[in-house]
Amino acid sequence: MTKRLVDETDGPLDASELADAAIAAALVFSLLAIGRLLAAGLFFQILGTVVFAVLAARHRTRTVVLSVTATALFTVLLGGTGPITQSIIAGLFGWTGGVSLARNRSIPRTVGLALLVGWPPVALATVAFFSVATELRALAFENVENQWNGLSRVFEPLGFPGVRDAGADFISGQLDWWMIAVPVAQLFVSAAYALLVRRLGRRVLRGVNDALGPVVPLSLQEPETGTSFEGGAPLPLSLDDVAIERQGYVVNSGVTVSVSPADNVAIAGRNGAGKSTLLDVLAGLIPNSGVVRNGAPRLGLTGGTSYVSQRPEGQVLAPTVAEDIRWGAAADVDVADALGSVGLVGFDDRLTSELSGGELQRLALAAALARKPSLLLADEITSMLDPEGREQINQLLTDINDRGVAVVRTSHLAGDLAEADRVVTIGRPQELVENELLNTIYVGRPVLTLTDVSYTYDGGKPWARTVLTDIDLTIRSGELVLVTGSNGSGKSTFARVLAGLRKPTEGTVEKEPGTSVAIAFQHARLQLLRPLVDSELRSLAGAHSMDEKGRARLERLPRAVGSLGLGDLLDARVDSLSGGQQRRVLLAGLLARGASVIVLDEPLAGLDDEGRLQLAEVVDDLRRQGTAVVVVSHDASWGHDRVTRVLRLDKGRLSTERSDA
Amino acid sequence: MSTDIFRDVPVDSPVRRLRAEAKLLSMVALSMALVFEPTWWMIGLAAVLGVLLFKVAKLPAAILPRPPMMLVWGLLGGAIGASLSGGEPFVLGLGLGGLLDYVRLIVLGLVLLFWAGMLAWTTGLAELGAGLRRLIHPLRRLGLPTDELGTVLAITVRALPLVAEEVRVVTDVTMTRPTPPADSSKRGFAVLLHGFSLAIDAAVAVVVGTNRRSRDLARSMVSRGSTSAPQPAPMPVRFADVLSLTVAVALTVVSFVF
Repeated sequence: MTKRLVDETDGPLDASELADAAIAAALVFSLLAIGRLLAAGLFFQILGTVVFAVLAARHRTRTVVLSVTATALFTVLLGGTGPITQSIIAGLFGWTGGVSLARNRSIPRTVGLALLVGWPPVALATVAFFSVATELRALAFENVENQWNGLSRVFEPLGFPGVRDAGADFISGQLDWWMIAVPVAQLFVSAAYALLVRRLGRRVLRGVNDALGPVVPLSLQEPETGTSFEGGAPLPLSLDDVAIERQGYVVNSGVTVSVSPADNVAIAGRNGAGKSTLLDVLAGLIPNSGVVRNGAPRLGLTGGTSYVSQRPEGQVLAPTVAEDIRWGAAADVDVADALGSVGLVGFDDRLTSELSGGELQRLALAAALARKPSLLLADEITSMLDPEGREQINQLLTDINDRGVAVVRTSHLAGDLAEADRVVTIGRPQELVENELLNTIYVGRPVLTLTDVSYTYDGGKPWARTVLTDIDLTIRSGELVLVTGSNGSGKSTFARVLAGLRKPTEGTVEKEPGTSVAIAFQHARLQLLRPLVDSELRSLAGAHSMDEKGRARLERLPRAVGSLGLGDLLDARVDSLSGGQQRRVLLAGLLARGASVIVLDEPLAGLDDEGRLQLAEVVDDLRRQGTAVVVVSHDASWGHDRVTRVLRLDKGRLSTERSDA
Repeated sequence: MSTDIFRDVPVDSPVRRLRAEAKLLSMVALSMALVFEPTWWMIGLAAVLGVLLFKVAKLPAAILPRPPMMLVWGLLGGAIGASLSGGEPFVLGLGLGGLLDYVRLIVLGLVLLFWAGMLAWTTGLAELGAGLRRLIHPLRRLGLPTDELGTVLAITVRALPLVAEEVRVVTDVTMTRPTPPADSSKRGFAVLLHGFSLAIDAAVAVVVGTNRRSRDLARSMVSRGSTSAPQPAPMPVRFADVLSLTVAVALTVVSFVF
């Protein structure tokens, strides 16, 4: 089914192996922590084992060993020896399970490998541990006997004479011979465990392989020896009518770009035109013939190329700001100077987890500048920011360029493109389509009313945080409400409270009878759980033939599918769809579920004008069917003529900016 | 969600100022003492010491988690089973032996969990990661890949909040899925099956989601031109660190000897 995707080779882990090892460690640690607190340790241990199995199926053994070691070290934090043991068991059985899955081994061979590798250390460790920890052994065994004695007292009078003594004899016999009885029991448990891991792991691994494809090794560039600073600089470079290839596919052909020192170039184009791929080629991440360069790109090295990406939280590597700047930088890097040049003076010891999106992007730019690059590549770096943050970043890019660094950025936003000296458009040119006016005749009766709603996270704890304060709002059927606010204004919490995912700590959310509220999060893929579009739609809608409600949803489904133009995609795999199509699947499912209010959380992030227009049309269609739509976004650029109300969320308080109702 | 219970409480105190590795090692020593010598004396000593440190660390009582009701009922059921067993000692003619054994085992678990909380409440994740990395650093002399492991530890610290966020979104999404009706007994199994298959789908979504994050991180490393985390800054060893370790190790030694 799946092949081992990376050959067994020696040598240290590459970037993707390190990152996958760390992500698996973090995930298993979280699972074990939740298990410990919910006293459901075994269930979460099994999930953790499956996580390691997926890692083992996709990576070298070395990756798994390091990941398990990291997990075991962190689980000291959870107290006692239990969680450490759990992480090691998860590692052993995850590794055997993953290796068997990757090689498509039969059940007997899978179980055999698990018993060969997993059982001996577990049995030996248990015997060794209980041989030393005599007091704990006595206590644990006494408790087993006590529980039996207590239990048998209850059912002995019910007509099972002799059961008590027989059971007690059996148990004490087992406990007397525990050095044999325990390992034998563990042998059977190990076999069952291996079977369960195989079964669960196979489904999860298939899902992961479908969604992510094979592991693409990311290689670091070695600094070439013998090249001087100037000679090694990547500029000037040029592409003349070059076809850009990614993994054997031509993404874009006929690209012509040239970049000289201190240039300021913008790459424009619609979603999917290959803008990011072009930047990867310039960075040297994707080898492509036809690029004429002065020197190697030297990505991330001093005097070479620096790269900043779209997702602010995705590119931070260290827990503190200063450490993040130092990651990979020259030993004598001036952290304060780098921070000063992006307006983050005094941020050295701040935790990166507490920075806003705009601050994170500035930090990424600071890390880039610390390498004194001759070329800075910026891939849609403003698309996740609010207008204020976007303006600051644009100003910074201009400043950086003024200091003699060549800047190449991609964007689909006109404001960003205006900052550049030169705009190169790739793919078909964007057509800006006039918005069709949609008046407000659809607005009907109130369906959802919020009264004095406040929301506090972790109320009563010292880290309590009030994010919503005294919100009053009435949503009417068929209306389109736009709720704007900067990053960190409480928008996400507001969306979750509206959708009923969080119960307000004060105030009430009242729904008219028959009203149901659904939410669509920013990344549609996270919300689509099934592999095939058809089954996903049924699951999302709750459509089935078991009762009235389910049948009604089943009947509504074809219309929802039709109105969102998904008729041809029913047999497709969810992971083969584009982001926009995934979002339409999600909306169709929610519509068929009978949602009368749909909350869209940041629906515009990363969409180009055409994508935005498509989404606006989908929303119009929802409204024609009486569904109210609430768009929660930092992006106020939704066609205002279509919106019935614009509200602004500022530090948890809601105010009306414009209202037609 | 629940991992929030173990988050650090930013109150300055002598306990917080201890080095992370001193706290870590002390806790390992104390856990060993408790596990190898789970007598009432030892458990009581650990509990009293814990409460004292809780006060010294100026931690508010509000941070103590409330146990889930499911757990409380489970523990109560076990207690009934154990107390029916009777045995010495007898008080007013009732044999309390079984119950006492049971309570000792449960209290042991709670004390261990409390100490884990002490470490988490007084140590930031970033510090803890740095502490672990300083601890493993000397092992490089044995030829172990400590730099590689150190980098994995550093990225794990970074990955924990990302993973928590993915888990939260997927949990929210899974909870809002409509489930088939559970009213008919025949369909009970179908509902169970549905729940099970939804759980697997959710697991796939979490693993896929977190793997995407991992791609971002890998790319970021490549963009920085380095796959090794900068060494954490060295820290001076202070008297309090030595004291904490000495007490914990002394307890362990005592527990082994007596």
